[in-house]
Amino acid sequence: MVLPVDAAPSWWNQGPHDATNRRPASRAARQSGPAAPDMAGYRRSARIVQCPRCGAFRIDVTHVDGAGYAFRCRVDDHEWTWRSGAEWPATVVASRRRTTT
Amino acid sequence: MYEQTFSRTNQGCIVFLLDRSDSMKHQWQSSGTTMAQGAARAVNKILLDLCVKSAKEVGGTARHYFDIGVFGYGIRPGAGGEGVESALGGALAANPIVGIPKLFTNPLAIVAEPSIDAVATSRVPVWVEPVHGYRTPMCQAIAVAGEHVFDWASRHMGSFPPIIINITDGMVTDSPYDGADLTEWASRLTSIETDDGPALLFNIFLSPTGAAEVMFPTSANGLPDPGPELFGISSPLPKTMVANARGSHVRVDDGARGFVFNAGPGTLVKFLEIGTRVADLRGR
Repeated sequence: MVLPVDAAPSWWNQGPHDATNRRPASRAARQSGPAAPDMAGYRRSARIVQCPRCGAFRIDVTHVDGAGYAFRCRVDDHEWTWRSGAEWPATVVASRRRTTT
Repeated sequence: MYEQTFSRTNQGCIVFLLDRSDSMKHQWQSSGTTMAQGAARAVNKILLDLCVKSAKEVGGTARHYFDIGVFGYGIRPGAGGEGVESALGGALAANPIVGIPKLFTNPLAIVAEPSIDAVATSRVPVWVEPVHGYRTPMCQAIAVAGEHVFDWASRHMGSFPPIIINITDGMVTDSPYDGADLTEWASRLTSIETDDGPALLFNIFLSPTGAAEVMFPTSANGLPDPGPELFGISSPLPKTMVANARGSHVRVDDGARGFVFNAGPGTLVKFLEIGTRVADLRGR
């Protein structure tokens, strides 16, 4: 599941030297056809929802007015919330110990 | 830095932030007009000067040497209520920053204005109308204009950096706005840059009374509010503008800021002339 991020990068936090994309495309670039999509842009504009406890991607999401989003993992029933602007929860997944038969 | 000239290859960008708050209704010293009327007239005069300067011959069409924006803050005649919107109306309303040729051919009106000899009248274009109402959302004005200035700069990296001229008679009423105070918003605006340097922010504080004018100061010492804050957010004058000012017999010390406090009508026009002139146009 991909969750849209509300706030696009604002003009004031795209620093003056952080702006190779601000420069007009060079003649060579214009002649070589469409530019490849900026993947960094996609990363900034969306969040991939993953359970921070077990790493599963099967998540139920509800949008709560004024409180962001509420999540529930279908695998381990872990529940958490997140609102735009807050730190995205880190996913910590412990590798399973192999059992010998 | 600040060495580029205005040309059709490297256009300039001049943006006016025009206070349209309720207090602009007051009489402007002994001018016989309100501050709203006087400020609008001064902006219209400078826009006409830029059009004339961009025409190759007298009566000819304007060439694309400049892009212009005028943002009013306070009352919004178009959208209604308080806020920020482009003060350029009619066919220009859809484009917050517009090229001089389009500006030249799309005034709101052509009005008769008495000439100096008071016998004949001249017909002059009007792009900005005097209106006033509500409070003074100066931070929001910078936020809105900044987005367009940023976009312009990204497409004109070889140009002289954008020049933003803020004309106000009052204290900011929306600081902090969106988590940032006026100083922070000004800092954000002047962090926009082209290859020729950072954007320039100049400030003009109009006074309804005939208090002493302070033009191009080098410090805020002795200035009452909001003088120190406006001085603090004003950019130092580049060397070319210092030379322009001295060429116009205006005393400017080294390190002077683009700021005038208690400006009267004559000073406002003089300031705008100095602040919008970089060097002779190239490639005429």
